[in-house]
Amino acid sequence: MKKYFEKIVLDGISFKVENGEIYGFLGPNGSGKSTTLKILAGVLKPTSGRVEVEGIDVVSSPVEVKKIIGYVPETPTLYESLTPAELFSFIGGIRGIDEKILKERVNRFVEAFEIGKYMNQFIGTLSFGTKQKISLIASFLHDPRVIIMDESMNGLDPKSARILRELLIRFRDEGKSIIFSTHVLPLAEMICDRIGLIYEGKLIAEGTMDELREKAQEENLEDIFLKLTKSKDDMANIIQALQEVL
Amino acid sequence: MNIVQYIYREVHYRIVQKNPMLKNNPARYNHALKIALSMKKALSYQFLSYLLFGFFSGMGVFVISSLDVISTYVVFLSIIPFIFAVFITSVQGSNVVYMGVFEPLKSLPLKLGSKYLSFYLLLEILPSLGIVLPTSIVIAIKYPLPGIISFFWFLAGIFLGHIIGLLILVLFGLKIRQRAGKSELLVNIVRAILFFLFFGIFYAFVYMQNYIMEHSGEWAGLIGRYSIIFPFSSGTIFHPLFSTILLILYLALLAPIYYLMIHRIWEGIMEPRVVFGEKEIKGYKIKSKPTIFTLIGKDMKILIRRTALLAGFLITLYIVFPQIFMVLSTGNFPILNAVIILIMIGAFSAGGIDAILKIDINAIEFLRTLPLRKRDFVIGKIISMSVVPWGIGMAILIIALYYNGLYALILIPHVFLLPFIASSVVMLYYFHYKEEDIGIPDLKKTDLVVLFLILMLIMGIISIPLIFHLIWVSEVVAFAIFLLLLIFLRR
Repeated sequence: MKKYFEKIVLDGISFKVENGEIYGFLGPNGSGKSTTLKILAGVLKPTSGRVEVEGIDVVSSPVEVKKIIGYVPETPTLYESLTPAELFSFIGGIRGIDEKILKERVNRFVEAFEIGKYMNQFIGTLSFGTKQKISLIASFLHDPRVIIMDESMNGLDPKSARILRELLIRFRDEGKSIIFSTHVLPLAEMICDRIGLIYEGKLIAEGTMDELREKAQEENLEDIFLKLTKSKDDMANIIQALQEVL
Repeated sequence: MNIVQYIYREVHYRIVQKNPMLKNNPARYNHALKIALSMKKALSYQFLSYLLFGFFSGMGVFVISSLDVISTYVVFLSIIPFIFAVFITSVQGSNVVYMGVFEPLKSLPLKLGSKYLSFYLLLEILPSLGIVLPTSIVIAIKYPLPGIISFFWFLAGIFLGHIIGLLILVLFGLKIRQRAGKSELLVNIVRAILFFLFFGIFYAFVYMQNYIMEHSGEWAGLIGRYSIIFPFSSGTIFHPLFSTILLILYLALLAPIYYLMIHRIWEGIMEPRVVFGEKEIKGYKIKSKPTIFTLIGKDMKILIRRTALLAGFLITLYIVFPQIFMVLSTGNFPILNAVIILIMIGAFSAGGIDAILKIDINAIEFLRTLPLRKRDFVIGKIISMSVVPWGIGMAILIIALYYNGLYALILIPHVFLLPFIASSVVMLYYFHYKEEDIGIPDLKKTDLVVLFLILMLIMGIISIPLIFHLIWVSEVVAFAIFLLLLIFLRR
């Protein structure tokens, strides 16, 4: 459970992600996705309950957990007065990555995401999409066993989004655990092994696509999502109301 | 809600949010938020605090009968809100822009959104009037018209300081450098030194106060000679007609400059000037160093690139500068004097805390995603804080060697230990919360008083042997405290 003082924002959420699995975390805005992912990444603490990553308690050993996690936040909050090259060196130093390995990994990712020309520019001057790419690379540099991504496709150009998608599939095949939240439902439908649906701080459904289809009696993920979050019936009324005022 | 109030609330809300000491304490958090979000309460509280200081200053004027002395007093007093205005406008203004508080305003149809920044900063400066208001009231009781005019001169000082602060903001605070280059270090250090020299001028004025009080007659002549230049102009209060005309002239001159500055700042916020470095660098360097060196390297790079922070970081230099100047002008530098200056440097190393913590203010969530131990973070900050005091200490050591020969080498332990001790005490106090989370603690005023007393106590203990000219004993004591702090840091 997570309480922000008196307000309960997460209540009774419990799920497990296996090795070699992509777990999609879906829910409307403000449902508690980012809070859940931040707790998993050790950025926030739960008010009560237990969170473990590979058997390590996130609350009592946050530093140990952060060593094996790669976390990509929804909005990249990086040191704007550093260049990407300096930021990657900084991360390499903090995470204790061998310089030779670090250089090799940085070069590969820089090439893949085509950010070579920005490597000596201050991060503050770069576009949101480029910052997002830097944030992604920053979280992959130590070859994490667990990857947590919070709407990390936002701002990416189609080519980079495709590369990221392929990369996630490869990571899964290597046995890594991936948890990611997204509003791009076709993407979730395409690559997730299991999906968890969070609504008003509670996990209301969980399972494979087939299991969710059966539960909601709907075919595609968008309809499943709208039905389970009780949004489908409201849709017509909302659109009609908007048409009246616009 | 009006926009100024929105900016005020946003800035103070973010400050509270970034304080890890409040995060797990709902009662303190709610209290801090309540005060931070209530502009009226916070400003009234600050105003009353300053008024208390101002009261003593006003009482001083009450017993003075000489018009020359009162004029001189007003000249000096007018410098205080002026410096406040320059400092808050330039440094805090730069921080506010950097926080991104203006981002939501950019999409609104505002022609000059920066006026809200200006009004907000003026609101933050206004409590400083509490320091000067009692003096104006006391003068007004004795001499009504000069008293009222003195108040207007204090206001003019704020306005002038605000405009200079805006100018600094335009020149240094709004540019975005596109590339990192070698020349930026030199340019930024020159900027910071200019900034420091600018303040140094006013510092020198304050230093000369005793002299002026004793030689107020001569100063009256000086005020007469330079009466059209601020702050001397505020000494013309006993020539009401001249003073009023001068005030109107100042206003007429400053108003268009103010408008121009506001215009430039809004342009700068809407579209920051992008400054490219030397030439395009084709390759890039990737290095991996041990954690502490990585942290220090990051701090130094950011400090050098953000002039406003660098100026705050060089505060020790600013404070010690008059002492160095005195030594160089007198040509006399006994070892004991050098030790006293080193103790001053040590104590004032603590002043770098604000700048050193602000480095991470916008990237704190990113830092929390890394497997960084609080202990490493704290040690990195202690060393970063000590860099400038160590540099100044080395300069003192070289001067002492020049005047005293090799005997001055006895100073070496104090050069390195004292800044480390003061920085460690401050950092340990700031980060004494239990959680492993890294954050930017915002201490209560009582905490700051306690911290100040602890620092004074430690520096006092180190200084006691100096009464008996036992420098080496003082150094042994400092070393013992250093070892004790290392034990605390390891824990």
